[in-house]
Amino acid sequence: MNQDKNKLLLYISQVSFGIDELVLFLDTHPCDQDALAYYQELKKARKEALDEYTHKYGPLLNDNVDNSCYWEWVKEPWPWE
Amino acid sequence: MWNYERRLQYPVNITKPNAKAAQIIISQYGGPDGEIGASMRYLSQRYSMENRKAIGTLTDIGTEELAHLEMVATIVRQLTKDLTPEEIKASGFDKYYVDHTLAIWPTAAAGIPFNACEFQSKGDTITDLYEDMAAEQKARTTYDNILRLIKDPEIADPIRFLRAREVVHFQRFGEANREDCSKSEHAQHNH
Repeated sequence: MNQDKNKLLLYISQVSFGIDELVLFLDTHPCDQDALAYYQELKKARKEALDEYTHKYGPLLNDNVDNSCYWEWVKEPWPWE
Repeated sequence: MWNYERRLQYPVNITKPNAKAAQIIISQYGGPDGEIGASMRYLSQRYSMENRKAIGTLTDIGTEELAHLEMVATIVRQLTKDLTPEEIKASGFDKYYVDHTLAIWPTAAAGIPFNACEFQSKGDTITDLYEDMAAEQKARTTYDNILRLIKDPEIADPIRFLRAREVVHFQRFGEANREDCSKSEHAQHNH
């Protein structure tokens, strides 16, 4: 795995983890305006990073597979590999 | 409905085989306080849960536990995939190997298979949320025990992440429990 790909995947994991944390926090603090605003910010950052990753390196989600003559989903390594 | 995302919640990059460590860590896959029991507990409890915030918390933590299950399996897989037959025999991993080769199978470290009796789904808001808080502490203790037994930083790093999540989940279940209808402002005003 090249360095730029790793770096972008790590960034996706970081912003996604921020969302994981906010989701749990908002479940029990649904009126917290700061958390609601931060959620919107991270949601946008995650979408942009996922789009960039998918375009450059392939899909992380199975409804994000680009048109091609080969089913890319089965080609890339899995997370445990 | 669930969607799979092709990445781990937190990275796992283990470069050296270690059958002893794998045999300990697999308890967090299929052991009494492991991630499969955690996920099944929360996802099963939510249907009869009456507290709205707790339903959300059970759904989202139950989902996160599936990601933890994948991380634990990845740790075990990376620790075992390059073992030699000699290492398998010398480490005592042969007793697992004979039945499962190098596949991942839900068992406790001492060989007891995963069993749904390791968790409860009781249909009582207070009972279930206290069970969930206790479950998070039991899982946290198990990760603490793993960290006492295993010092390799490549293994300890993702284990520390998983341990920290147990603490956050305990906090969220505690907050959901405070929202229980018997303790809500509305109920107190009626007294």
